Amino acid sequence: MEIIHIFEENLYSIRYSGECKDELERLFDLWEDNEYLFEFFEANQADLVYYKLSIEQAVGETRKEAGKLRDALFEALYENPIQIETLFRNLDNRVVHTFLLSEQKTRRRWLRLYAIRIHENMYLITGGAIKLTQKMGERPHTKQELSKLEKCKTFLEQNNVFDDDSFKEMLNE
Amino acid sequence: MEPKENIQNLKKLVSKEKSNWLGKAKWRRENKAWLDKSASIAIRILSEIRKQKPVNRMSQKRLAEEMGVTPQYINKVVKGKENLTIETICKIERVLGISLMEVPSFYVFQEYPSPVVIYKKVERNNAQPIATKQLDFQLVGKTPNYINYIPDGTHG
Repeated sequence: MEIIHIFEENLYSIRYSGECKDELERLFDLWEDNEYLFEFFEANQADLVYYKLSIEQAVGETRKEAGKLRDALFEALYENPIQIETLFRNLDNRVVHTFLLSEQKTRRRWLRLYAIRIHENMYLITGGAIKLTQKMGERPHTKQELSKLEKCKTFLEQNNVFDDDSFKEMLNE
Repeated sequence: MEPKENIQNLKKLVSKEKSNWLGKAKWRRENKAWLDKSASIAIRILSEIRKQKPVNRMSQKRLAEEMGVTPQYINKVVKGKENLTIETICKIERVLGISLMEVPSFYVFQEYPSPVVIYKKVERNNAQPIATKQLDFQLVGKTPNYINYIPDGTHG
């Protein structure tokens, strides 16, 4: 597991062992890969019934929403002052306060990016998913994202990333 | 554990490699118009290949063979990453027997707005009596009149 730098001191992404791309790059490539999307929606056709969309329409919608999410993130990074904080919120909708190394998400329709908030306007992307169900635990691919978040958190803590300052210092070295 | 030691340990986590996400995001924003159209065409092609597969064993490989191109090229097309030429689109249409691009063969009348009368609010001071609503405004001009605009070749 490695941390890949994305933008200034604000955005980082995890690259898991065996992957050639970091999670942010991998996910946006995947969400624009028509073949992958056709296969995904075919495998999850039962969950798509709720949205009243055909597989073809779902593929098109995913690409469109991925473009919007990418633009929102891109624009937030280049805002002065940076606005990335406004994009993310706590993973658990019931949690109001933000804690150190809190699990967060940003969304666009059924697309999710999951991250750990290191500091104000400082995020580490841990993964993402096409979430068609209400709870993350309902499907293996979204359940996996929960364990990825946990794994990353443990990884940071094991490496003594307990607070904002130590993490920032580490990256500046 | 000393803070310096912490930093040394944590430094090992940060890769020297850079992500390609930012560069790709920038490129996609700059090329959005044709990429969106190319993606719509790609989805239609992929959908048609999947539909025809049980009937005539259509595949990306077969499409490539019948078009006289490499399977790698077709793979690029279905990913929506190829800036397609009209010639290529026509070849795909012929092999798959579908229509991917339609250009209206008839003249489309464009509707122009009717002229609008522009009024400017008349400034009044408190000493003036309150005018009727109509008198509060003064005619200052009109937008161009497009009513007589008739494009060439539209009348038989």
